[in-house]
Amino acid sequence: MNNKYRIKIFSIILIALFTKCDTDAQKSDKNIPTGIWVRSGYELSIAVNPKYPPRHITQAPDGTLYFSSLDSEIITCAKDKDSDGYYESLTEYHKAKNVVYYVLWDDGEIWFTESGAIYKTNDTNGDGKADDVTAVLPNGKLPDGGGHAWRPLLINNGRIYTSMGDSGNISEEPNSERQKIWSFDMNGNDKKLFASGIRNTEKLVLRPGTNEIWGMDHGSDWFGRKVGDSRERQPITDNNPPEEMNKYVEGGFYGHPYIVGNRLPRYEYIDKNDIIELAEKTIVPEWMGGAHWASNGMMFYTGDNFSSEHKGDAFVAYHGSWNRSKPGGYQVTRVLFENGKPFGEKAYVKFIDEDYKIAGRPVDVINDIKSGGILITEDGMLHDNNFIYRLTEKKK
Amino acid sequence: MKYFIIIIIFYTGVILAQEKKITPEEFKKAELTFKQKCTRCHGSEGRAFGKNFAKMEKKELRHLTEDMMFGPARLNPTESEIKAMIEYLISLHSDKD
Repeated sequence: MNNKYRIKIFSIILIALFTKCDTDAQKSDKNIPTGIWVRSGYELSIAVNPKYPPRHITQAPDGTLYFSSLDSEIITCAKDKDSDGYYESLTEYHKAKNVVYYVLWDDGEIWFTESGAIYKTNDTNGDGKADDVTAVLPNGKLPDGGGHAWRPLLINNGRIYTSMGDSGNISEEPNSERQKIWSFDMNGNDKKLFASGIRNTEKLVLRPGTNEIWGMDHGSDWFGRKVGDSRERQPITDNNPPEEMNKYVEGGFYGHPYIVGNRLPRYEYIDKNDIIELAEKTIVPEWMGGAHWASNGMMFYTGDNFSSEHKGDAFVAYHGSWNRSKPGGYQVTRVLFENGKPFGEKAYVKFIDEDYKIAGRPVDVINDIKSGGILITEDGMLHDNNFIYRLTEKKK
Repeated sequence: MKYFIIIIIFYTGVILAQEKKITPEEFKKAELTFKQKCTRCHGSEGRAFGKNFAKMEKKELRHLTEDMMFGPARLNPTESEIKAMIEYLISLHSDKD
């Protein structure tokens, strides 16, 4: 090989290297925080670096993202204009009257919920800002207030599904509109009770190809307190009750506040005259997660980045516990399904290490239309930056 | 009788004067506690469920603050820490609504 050739090859290598560095720099100049574990064969990248810690997220078919935050009343719109995988263009899509909990793309409209209201919006000129906002269920038509006041939203077959959880821990509030899933027509009328006995389900999702409504319900706190568990010593509460993955059916009762997990009564209600009847009519969870792990987000995988056996499996974002002696949760897991039934669970991303050091609090998970992987929001505010992560399979 | 009333007024004044005010350090500590323990559900400025803190009856706010500090925050607060937290919560949105 003569010198001329050597110089040519060397130049090509140099150009290739610089081009690669430049592309990476365009994607994001931030690094993934340390302390995050990712399952072997998969990798995390930064999809968005939002101003506010992101909570719930939705994606339009063109890949545009919309997400809420507990730190602002603003819904952010994020676009990846140069299609490099990093959403560099962030705009204030809409500033609501109150903090926004849930956002949902449906048939060209962005819907969002506050604790006591549901709105739909349109961006008619495509500038990333809502220019048409309608209160479908305005304040006053839905319960509002504290406690578990998160409000999920699902739209299916011309009906709106929404709920609000317990006002405390195990409140007996049978005549309240809380602890129930309600459905409405698309104009916010024709209110119908869908399911009851729910403690705190923050997201409702459809299983692909079906009309089945699924959600993760947070288990109650202080299970063992009645029999002596205390903050200093809580062997019972540490492991009970489980987080519940439920398939919500019309007219179904899911046990709360009387029954947990596999039809086990809470000690506080053990002397209730109809406790056996309540247990009998409780629909048991399809799957159970770690106690107090705070299962905020859930999705069914429909993408094509992960190997094909992932299709139809669920992913769950566990925000992390407070009611355990040692922290639990703080991870995104895959729940394996066969014939529409879960049969196993394994972690894909952990924001907690073996010494219980916490590196993040995942909230929501969605399919990423662009990459075929999944997007994970994280609102722990433990680092200098807020991130929405993308999980993809490492390609060989 | 006259002297008795004067003494009562005097000591009431003394007791009131002795009631401990929250110091800037205690307030700062409450702010830090809120950021470490409360933001995961309420946002760093208490926007989630916190907008009405300043409008709440003192008794109700006290009850709620105690519940949260002993409960989800897993703290064992002293009386002055509870008071400092209440003051911090009131400060969060009192000028924004």
